[in-house]
Amino acid sequence: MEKIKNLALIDDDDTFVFLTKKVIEQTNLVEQIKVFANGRDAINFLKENSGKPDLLPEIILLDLNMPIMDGWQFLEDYIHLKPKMGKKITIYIISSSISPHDIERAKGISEVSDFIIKPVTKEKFISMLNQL
Amino acid sequence: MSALNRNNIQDRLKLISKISALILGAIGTIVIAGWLLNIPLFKSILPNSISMKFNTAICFALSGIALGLLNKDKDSFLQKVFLFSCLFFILLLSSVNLYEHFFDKNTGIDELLMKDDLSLVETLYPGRMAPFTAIDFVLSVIAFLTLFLKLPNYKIANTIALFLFATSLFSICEYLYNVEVFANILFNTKMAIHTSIGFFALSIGLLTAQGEKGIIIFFTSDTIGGTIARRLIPLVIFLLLFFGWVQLQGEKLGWYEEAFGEALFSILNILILVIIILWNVNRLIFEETRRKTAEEKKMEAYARIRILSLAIEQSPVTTIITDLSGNIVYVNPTFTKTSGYTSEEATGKNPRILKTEFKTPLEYKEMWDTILSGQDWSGIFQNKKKNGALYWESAVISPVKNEAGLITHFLAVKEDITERKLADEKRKKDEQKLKEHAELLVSKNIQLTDFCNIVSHNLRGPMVNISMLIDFIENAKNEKERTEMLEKLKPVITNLNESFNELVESLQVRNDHELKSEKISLEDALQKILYGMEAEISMYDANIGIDITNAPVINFPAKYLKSILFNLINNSLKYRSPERKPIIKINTKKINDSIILSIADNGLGIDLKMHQKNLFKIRKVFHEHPDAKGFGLFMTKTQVEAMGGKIWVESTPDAGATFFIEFKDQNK
Repeated sequence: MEKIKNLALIDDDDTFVFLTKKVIEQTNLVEQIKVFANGRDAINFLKENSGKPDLLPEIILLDLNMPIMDGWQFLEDYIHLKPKMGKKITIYIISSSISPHDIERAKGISEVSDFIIKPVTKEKFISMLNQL
Repeated sequence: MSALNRNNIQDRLKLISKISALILGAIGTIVIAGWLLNIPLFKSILPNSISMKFNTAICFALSGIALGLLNKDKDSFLQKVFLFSCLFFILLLSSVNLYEHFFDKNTGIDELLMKDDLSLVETLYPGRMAPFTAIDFVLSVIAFLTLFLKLPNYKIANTIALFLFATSLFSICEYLYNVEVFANILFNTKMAIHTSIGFFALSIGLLTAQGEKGIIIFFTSDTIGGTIARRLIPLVIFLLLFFGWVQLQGEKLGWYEEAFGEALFSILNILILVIIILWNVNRLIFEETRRKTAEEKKMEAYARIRILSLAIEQSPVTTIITDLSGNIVYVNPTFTKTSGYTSEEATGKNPRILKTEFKTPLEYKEMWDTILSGQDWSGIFQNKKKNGALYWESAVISPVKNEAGLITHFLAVKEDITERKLADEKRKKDEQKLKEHAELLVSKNIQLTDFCNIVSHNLRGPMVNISMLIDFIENAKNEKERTEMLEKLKPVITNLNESFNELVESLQVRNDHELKSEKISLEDALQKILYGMEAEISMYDANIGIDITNAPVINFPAKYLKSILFNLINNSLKYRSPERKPIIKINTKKINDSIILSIADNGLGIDLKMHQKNLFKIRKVFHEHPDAKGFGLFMTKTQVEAMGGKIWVESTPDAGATFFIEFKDQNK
């Protein structure tokens, strides 16, 4: 299995970020994990670095419920940004929501590869990478 | 025949009477002129025949005047005096004359005015009128009196007129057949020819002067009898006189023997009479056939009317017929069934016995204008039954016109729509209820979805963290790592606890139906809250302006109002702009039943384009503020909506935000 160079974790929940980072690090499949506390920070980063494929993440793990700019709003902005991206980016929604409404809505967005219900375990993460 | 034609006939009879008066006057005047100017032709008309005496001429002239006056439409006192004088002189001259005839005396009245001219024809008594002339004049005066006094017994005048007619006819026959009937039978003095004609005119004048009474009815009747009388009588009189004269002339000229002539003219008379009779029979047959056809048509029409009446009688809709002034002339049994008024009770009354205040006088006027202009009107009435119960009717009112196109009646056909209307109202109410239920369901559903989201986002999130932490604790390689994980566990549990408490609090608000509204002085409430915030207000040097004169008292649960005011003012202070001193304006406005409270600040504002949807949701924050928890606005909205109110916001990022709250039912 090829190693992932960059992974972006967009989530405001410090504890969850801390734990998930730990889980991903344990797999040893990702070189670098970037954390953004809300959608706005992540979008700004993507905009600034759209021309630098080395810095752009291959995978984004996106939380839905966040302050300032939530996951849905991030996706809306991202759709406009996507054509300018110098790299193929796969987005997974990582949410504690079990609402069928949210899952339906996520399926309707082609930029979203899958809807993963928290927590993220080692097994779930590896199968995610396998789908790439 | 209509009244118009009958009047016409009366006028015509009057006209005939007036013409008779003129003829009489003319005869009298001409003969008087003849005597005064000594013109023999004027005195006797026919050469070598008896002249009309001067007294006779005066009597005719006076009769003419009397008849003329009698036929005047308006009579004055002077006219009456004049008429009576005329009659008096006629009576005087004629009765003295009669006296002379009967008692063979000469009073000298005969030649009092004019000396007789004996050069024409030998007369036994110079200047004396013939006895029948005198009798006729005396009788005519009687007839005049009965007519003038309008005596109920028209037969007197009638009989006298017929007597006059008979004497004149006799006299005319005397001249026609050259015989002397009167002279031979009664008296030896003959009437002059124009005297006969005068009496003919006088008899006609008297018959027609009384209008349609007595024998004249035969001639004026518009029945088939009248028609035949008008055809037969003049014709028979004329033809028989004429043939008699022709027969006589033939004999005189020696064309045939008396017996032959008698036979010939008997046959001729029979033939002519039979033709006349057949002619009239033909007319009778024609009339009879026409009458029968008309009768049949009438029967047909009657049968039709009977069927149509039955249809109306048995119709399930109400039928009312009124006359032109709106009085009921007919109602069908359905009317009685719906209104409670019987046909006898309703007939002659105006349909306004059913009236209620439902229609305005203007609407009634519009209805009348429509039907009086000849058009149909349709609409709905709310009417009152005899027992006072109200009912609804859908009605069509049409004017009924006669052949001349004039409105004679109004026809109202009405249907009781009370049940339909009630069903309609019930259906509307049911629909409204259904709508309310649906709205309630939608709002409950939204709340349920919100709740589901809250549970998955705010409760499930910390739960996930706890389970992950416990995994790590179990798999920890050393004590240090375990302690690190255990330390992380505590804030997660605190967070979970807070979320859970908030959720419980919000659920309590939603279900707190027992909470009572009370009248709260807004000033007092604000003072208490601002007192609690004094430290922050002075620290930030905030300027707080209050204008609540428009609505100083709010009807709301005190606990909620306190919480709402606290949350909104607190937000304004918390999310102040770092670049300017906070200015907060608190206003109230009364609109109908509601009070709108607004709290405006000049702080950071909210990007509504981004956050509109999540503005009032739990655990949603829009600023990177360490104290932002996303509970204040959620709770405020929950409290406002629990009492049926509304909350909304207007904002420009980095300029400020204004929150509006509508408090409902403030007029209690």
